[in-house]
Amino acid sequence: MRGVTALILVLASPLVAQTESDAQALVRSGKVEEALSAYNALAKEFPQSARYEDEIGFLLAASKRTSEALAHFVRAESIEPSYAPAFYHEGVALWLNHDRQRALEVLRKAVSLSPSTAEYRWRLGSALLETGQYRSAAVELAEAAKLNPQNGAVWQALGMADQQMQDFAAARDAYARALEFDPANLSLRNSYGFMLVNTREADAGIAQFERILRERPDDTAAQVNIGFAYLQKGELDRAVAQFTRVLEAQPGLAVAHYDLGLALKQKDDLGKAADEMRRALEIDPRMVEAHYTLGIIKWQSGDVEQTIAEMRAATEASPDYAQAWYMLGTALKQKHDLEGAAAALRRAIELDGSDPGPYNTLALILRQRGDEKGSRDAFAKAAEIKRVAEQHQAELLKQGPARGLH
Amino acid sequence: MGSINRRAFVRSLARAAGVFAFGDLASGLGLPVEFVNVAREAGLHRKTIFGGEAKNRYLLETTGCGAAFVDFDNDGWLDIFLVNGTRFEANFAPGDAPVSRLYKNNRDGTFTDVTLKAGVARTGWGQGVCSGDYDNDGWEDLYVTYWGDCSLYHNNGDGTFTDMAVKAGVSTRTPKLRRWNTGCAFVDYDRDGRLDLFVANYIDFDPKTAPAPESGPCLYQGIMVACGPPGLQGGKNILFHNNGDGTFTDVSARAGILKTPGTYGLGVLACDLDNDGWPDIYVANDSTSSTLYRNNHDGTFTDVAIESGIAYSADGKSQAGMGVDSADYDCDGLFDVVKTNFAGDTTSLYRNQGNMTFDDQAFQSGLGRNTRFLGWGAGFLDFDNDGWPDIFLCNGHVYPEVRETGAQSGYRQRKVVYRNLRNGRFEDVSESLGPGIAEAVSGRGCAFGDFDNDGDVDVLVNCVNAPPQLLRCDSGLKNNWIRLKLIGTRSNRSAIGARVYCRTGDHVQMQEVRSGGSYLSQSDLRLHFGLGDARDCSIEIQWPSGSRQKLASGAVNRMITVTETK
Repeated sequence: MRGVTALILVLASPLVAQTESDAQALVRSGKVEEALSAYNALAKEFPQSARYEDEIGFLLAASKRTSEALAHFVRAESIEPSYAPAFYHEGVALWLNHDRQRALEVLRKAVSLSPSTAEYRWRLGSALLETGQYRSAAVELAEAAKLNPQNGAVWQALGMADQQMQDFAAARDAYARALEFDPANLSLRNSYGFMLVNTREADAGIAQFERILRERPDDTAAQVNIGFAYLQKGELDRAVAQFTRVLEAQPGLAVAHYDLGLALKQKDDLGKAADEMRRALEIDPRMVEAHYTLGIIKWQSGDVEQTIAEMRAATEASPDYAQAWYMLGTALKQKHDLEGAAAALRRAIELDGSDPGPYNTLALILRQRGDEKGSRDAFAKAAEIKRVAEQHQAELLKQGPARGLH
Repeated sequence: MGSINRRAFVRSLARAAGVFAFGDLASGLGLPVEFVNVAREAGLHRKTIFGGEAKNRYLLETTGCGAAFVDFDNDGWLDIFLVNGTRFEANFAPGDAPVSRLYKNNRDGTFTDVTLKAGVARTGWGQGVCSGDYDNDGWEDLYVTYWGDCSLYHNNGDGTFTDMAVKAGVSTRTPKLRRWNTGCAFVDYDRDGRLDLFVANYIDFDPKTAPAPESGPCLYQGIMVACGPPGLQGGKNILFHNNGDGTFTDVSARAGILKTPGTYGLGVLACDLDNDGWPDIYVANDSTSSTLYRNNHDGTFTDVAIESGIAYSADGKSQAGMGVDSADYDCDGLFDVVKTNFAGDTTSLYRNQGNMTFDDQAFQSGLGRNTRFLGWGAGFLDFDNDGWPDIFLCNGHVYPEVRETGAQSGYRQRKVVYRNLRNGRFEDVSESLGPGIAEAVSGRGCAFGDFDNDGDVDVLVNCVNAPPQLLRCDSGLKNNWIRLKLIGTRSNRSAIGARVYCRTGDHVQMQEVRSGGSYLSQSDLRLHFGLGDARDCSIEIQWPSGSRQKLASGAVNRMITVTETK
């Protein structure tokens, strides 16, 4: 309440109002030091004004004097604990200062104090997106979009969050909204096209990529995505031709080698597919998907040892890669390393318990090891997951949403 | 060295030095064996009708039907039965409706259509066929499954049949449901000398309530296609017990068959998988775990598929099982199982490890290399008569709509044949086995048998909305063979379930007389053994009655008829 009183006083005084107006004009004209002096004067006059402390903090932060800025934000918050802009600005300053954890806490506080401010939710959502908290990010960004549907950047960020959560239909729709505000953004159009392909609208996706290529003929992402669209349509020969064309122009493009490898794998041309995966890894050794897919190719070829090696490489590079742990466990079982297999499968289950496959394989291993109860439990868990999934499919079919069932 | 000489050298090396190196050495070489489609010149030119040719509204229109090699007139030459379907939208004129067809073997490479005379001309959504002499009168009878009432064609022994399904109690009609019956097999599960009958069920299908493509919409690679089976209620299988008086009793509940939750049952394999002398029943289910009913020897069964390791893929996942067959491919005295699956997946090869446990060896065996085919009919056959079961797979995509896209291998697909390398591995030799294998068709059920009695096994393929294929095996190999026709006396007359061991030196092969199998089809009930260059073999028969019988083959390259000693 003290803050509110101070604000009323400020507004009540013509002199103060003029000083503040001058300060704002200085800010607008980029005269930060002079603006700071003006706000410092106001703050001195009104030491219980959270707003002036926040303005000072904002100007200091803009001048990259972050630690000084933070002190003013904190002071503003202590003067008026419900003054959301101070928390918001502090959150932004902390983020820029790479104190992400604290920034998220403070941004959350800002949102909780002013839940209907779209900007706060947008920034919080963006920060969550950046830190890999996609579900929370999507919630904040969706709310921000609802509060201010005219901000294209919010829609774009929401699309990215949805994409990361593999909710491709939602991502597609968000990108479509973002494009309404920024139709010349080719990167955004690429994302939109990519989501169209992922939601089984491959032809519509190709149309987007072709539009990009008309404006920027050497757009590599669009070229690769056209090949990816063919892959999704099962038009493997066209996919191979497209990726080959891209690689002729840019032989060092790891993702094109990877996608070409995928297309060749689907054509059961395993030797050439493996070559492409290896080439992708030479160019980008951090491409864990290439380790995984190369492992699958080796698995298809009956080379259990090499499968294990590739899955180990994938899990070492990405310890949370549930599918790779699952496949590692499966391959170790085939090699009769039951202990190693069980450990890998348990890790896969820990990371993603929604797939009945690792439970079934683990159950067989436990049975082989004489653990009848453990085996029964694992089979039961798999059966339960399967039952729920089947029930879900039945409901979907009854309700009629777009689904491919095979 | 020319290629022929080199091949001969490789073969002789394999025989002289043991089998371990043969596969590697022979890899990539052409084989003097080819399959030629002689259907047209044999007189099999009628198209099988099954749903819409370009688009299908319901899954029922996609799955196609089976084929049978059966010697219905006991003349020692295999005749042909081809199951036929129909169309929802068609309005066939009387007399023009598609019917299942019976063709009599003219013993000169041609067949005569005897459908009408035989009395088996029935229209409807035909599915599968299996044969067996259910009344032990010496003539093979036929059971034909349908969406709806099934037919039990009793063989009258005079070239005619009478549909006894209703009278015998095996029509499967229920007041409430219209069952979509699929695979079937005659099996003497209680070993009382009379053939019982197992019928798989896909779903209980009603077009009035079934989801249409646009109601989903149901999409496959972006194309709108028929919906299911995931999301639809799976059907329950039926076991009929033979009462010995021409009638059967539905014992599904009592026998424990109904304890398995509703599945999308297709291919049926009745086979003694645990070597206990009692037939077990395996069902390839679409889009869910497979079923293995272990025979408990007391008239009941227990589904042990999941804990046996034969329900899922090598990585524990459900597959879209279609066709199934078994053989002892590694000659270790245990029957292994092959199962075809959907496109994007591999064929399953479950190696029997004993004690009713299996391990899917698809990848280690070399079958993992092909994922682009959608498999239906499946069989172990020794096409080169070397004494080791090879694998034959019949393919075709389920959705005719994919033909527009060129997706994967298209709607019509070629066959895949794997040659047994005798070391647990197989080699894909499809591309060297002639035009019959290479020709892309909408294949579904297939049956195996030597229709021209020339000593090598031929293949009959039923195709959807296309004429069938009769793939004659033309072999330049001079490997020997022996064929056995078994006649049960204490056992069922067809000798279904009889196991035969064929020994040549240290090499022991094992086969069982089997009803049903592959994809909704019936192969020759006679057993064919390739013998390589062996000039004789010793035979041991283990009859379903429990009796054993031994004999020496004497001369090879002939058929021997063996009657069970009383």
